[in-house]
Amino acid sequence: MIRATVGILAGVGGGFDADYQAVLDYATTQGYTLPSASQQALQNQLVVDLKDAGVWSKLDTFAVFATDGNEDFALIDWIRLSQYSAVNSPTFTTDIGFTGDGASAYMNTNFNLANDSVNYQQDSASKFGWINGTPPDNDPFDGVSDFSSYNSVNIRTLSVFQWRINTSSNSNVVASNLSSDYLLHYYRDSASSSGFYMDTTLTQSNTTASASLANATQIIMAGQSSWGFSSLTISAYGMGDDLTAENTDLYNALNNYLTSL
Amino acid sequence: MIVLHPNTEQYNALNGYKHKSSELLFVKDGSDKWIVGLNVLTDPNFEPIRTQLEKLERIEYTPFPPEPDDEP
Repeated sequence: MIRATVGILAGVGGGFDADYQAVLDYATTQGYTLPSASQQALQNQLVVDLKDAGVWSKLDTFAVFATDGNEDFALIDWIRLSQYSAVNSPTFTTDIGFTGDGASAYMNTNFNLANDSVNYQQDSASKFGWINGTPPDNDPFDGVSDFSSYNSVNIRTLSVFQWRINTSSNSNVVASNLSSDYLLHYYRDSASSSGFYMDTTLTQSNTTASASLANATQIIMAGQSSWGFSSLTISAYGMGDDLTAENTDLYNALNNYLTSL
Repeated sequence: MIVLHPNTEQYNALNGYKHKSSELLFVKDGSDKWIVGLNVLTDPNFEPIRTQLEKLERIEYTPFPPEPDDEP
């Protein structure tokens, strides 16, 4: 409670968390439009919550697309203090995030799995994103920049997923109950153990073997080439070390932020 | 859905264009044609190349065929 109060009041009197202040400073240097003062307090609280949960220190890349800052601010990687790319003009909606056009638009994290990973490792890794609204059928959630099957996820219908984390050799289909506004969190906790959460529910786990991290950047709203491109709306995205133990806290932190907008 | 299709000269001139955080990269549709969505025509970051984008051929997008289910 005390830290929550500190986080909310920080926007009034300054004293933001140093890592969130670094995001604001980076944006100011770049000439981006910052979020409103009230949203800065909420975003600061998000960082505080992620740190309290032990999530922040495990992340290699993290972006919050749902903001009342401008599109450039929405594309900041809060961990690396660099930019995601908006490829072929996904639509940015204030306080919601980016939406694909179902034809060619996607996001590129510019995070190269083989070269940039510190916490995200072949056999200990998580990637997650928050889907806004109800996705239509056949929507790639993420993948890699060479449009291979490696590390790719496709929401085929509201009840069928294809998913992979640090592998390209297998595709998995699972019944789900996706409706709207969901955290999707895919993890790998060993060379032969992976799974995924929807919100706080462990939806499926399996024993698919891992493969070396691809020399490609992680992309969002596109996956393997034969899937086409997505119409999803994504509000946040991140990658890092295995966050299985922190999943509930990750969900709560993101849900608290997004439902406060 | 209508999308934009470049000829070879247009592809070479426009593919990879970057401005701020926006990037233009043609992708292939289900008929193996290079395309890009109409959103690029209204992206402020593509204003410097808008005249060239408006000259691209407008074609009907070909979706990819659904894949068979994989093993659960």
